[in-house]
Amino acid sequence: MSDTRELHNRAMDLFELGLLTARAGKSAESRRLFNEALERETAAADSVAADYELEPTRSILHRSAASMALRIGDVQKAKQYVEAGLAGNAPEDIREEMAVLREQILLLEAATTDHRLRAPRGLTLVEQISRRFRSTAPVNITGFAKALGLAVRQADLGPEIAGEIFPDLYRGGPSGYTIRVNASDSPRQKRLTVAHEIAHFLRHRDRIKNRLVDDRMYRSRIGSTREREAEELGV
Amino acid sequence: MLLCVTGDVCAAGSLRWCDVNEQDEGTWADLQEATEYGAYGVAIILALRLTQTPRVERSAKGTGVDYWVGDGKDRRGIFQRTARLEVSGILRGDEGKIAARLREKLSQTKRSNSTGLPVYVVIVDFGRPEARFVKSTEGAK
Repeated sequence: MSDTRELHNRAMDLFELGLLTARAGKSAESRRLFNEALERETAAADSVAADYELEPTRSILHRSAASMALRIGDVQKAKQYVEAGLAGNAPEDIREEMAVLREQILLLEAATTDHRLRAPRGLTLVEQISRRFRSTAPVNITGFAKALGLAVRQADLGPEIAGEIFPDLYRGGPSGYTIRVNASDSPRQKRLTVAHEIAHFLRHRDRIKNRLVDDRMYRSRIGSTREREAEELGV
Repeated sequence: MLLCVTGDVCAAGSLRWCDVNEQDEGTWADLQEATEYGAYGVAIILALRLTQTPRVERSAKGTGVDYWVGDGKDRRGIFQRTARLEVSGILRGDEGKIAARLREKLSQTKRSNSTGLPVYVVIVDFGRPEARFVKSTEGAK
C-alpha cells in the first residue's frame, strides 16, 4: 500500500504542478508534467487492479488515471483505465462518473479518428448519449453537458446575461468549451440556459470564436435564425 | 479579518489576505476561478480542523482535482474511510446566495452519493466572509 500511496501522491503533485504550469501558458512544460503524472498514476492503479474488494480506492485510482490520460489526449490509455475501473465493483456514484468519462473519451476518439474509418451505421455517439439522458425525467442536463465533454460552471454574470459558451482550453473539459450560467438565476432557469448553450455547442460550434453570450431573451450576436435553432434543440 | 463558520458548527477564524505580485495577479485574473480555488483552500483547512482528520487525499477528475479527507489509518487503501469534499466559492454573496448554493450542492450529493461515506459540503463566501460547513450523510451506510 505504501508504494501505491507514494506513486499516487507523486502523480498528484506532478498533475497539480502541470495544471499551474498550463495556467501560466507553458504548454510544453505542462505536457511533460502531465505525462510524468500519468506514468505514476497508471502504476498506482495497476498496483491495486487485482484487488476487486478494495473499493472505493481501486475505482478512484483508475478514474484518476483515465482522467489524466484524457487530459493529454491519450485516448487509448484513457479507455484502458476507465474500462478496467468499470470492470470492478465501483460504488454507484464513482461508476456513474466513470461512465460519463468513458463517453467523453469515446467522443474525443470519434472526433480525432479519420472520418473514413468511422462506421456510419446506427445512432451517432451524440445521439446515443442524448437518448440515454433523455430516457429519465427530469433530464440531468449538467450530466448531459459533461458527457459531451463540456465544463459547466456558474458565475455572477450580471442582471442582463443568462449564460455564455466559450472555448476554454485550460478548464473546458475534453471538448475544450465551457458553459457559464448566471449564478443568480433559479435552478429551472439555469437548466434552460445549459440546454440552450448545449444546442449552440452541437449546432454552431464552428461559429463560436471568442465567446457567445446570451442575454435574458437568449439573443446573441450569432443571429436570430441560429438562436431559433438553439431554442428548438434546447427544448 | 474574521471568518465566520456556520452550518453544522459555529466557529470563527482569522482570514489574512496575502500580498500578491504582478505574476499572481496575471495568473488569477479570472475572478471566478480565483474564487473557486480560494474556496478550496479555505475548505481544506476547515475540514482538517473541524473533522479531526489529518489527511487530504486528491484524485484527478475532469479538468481538475477532487479532494477527500480521511484519517489515513486504513492500511488497505488510500481512499478507504475517507469523506468527499464538495466545495463552492462565492465572491460577494449574501444569506440567500449561500443557502441556494448549499441546496444545490446537497441535491447533487443526494443524487450521486452511494459510496457509503459522508460528504462534507463547504460554501465559502469571500464577501462577508463566511464559510457554511455541512456534513451530508445522505446515502451513507
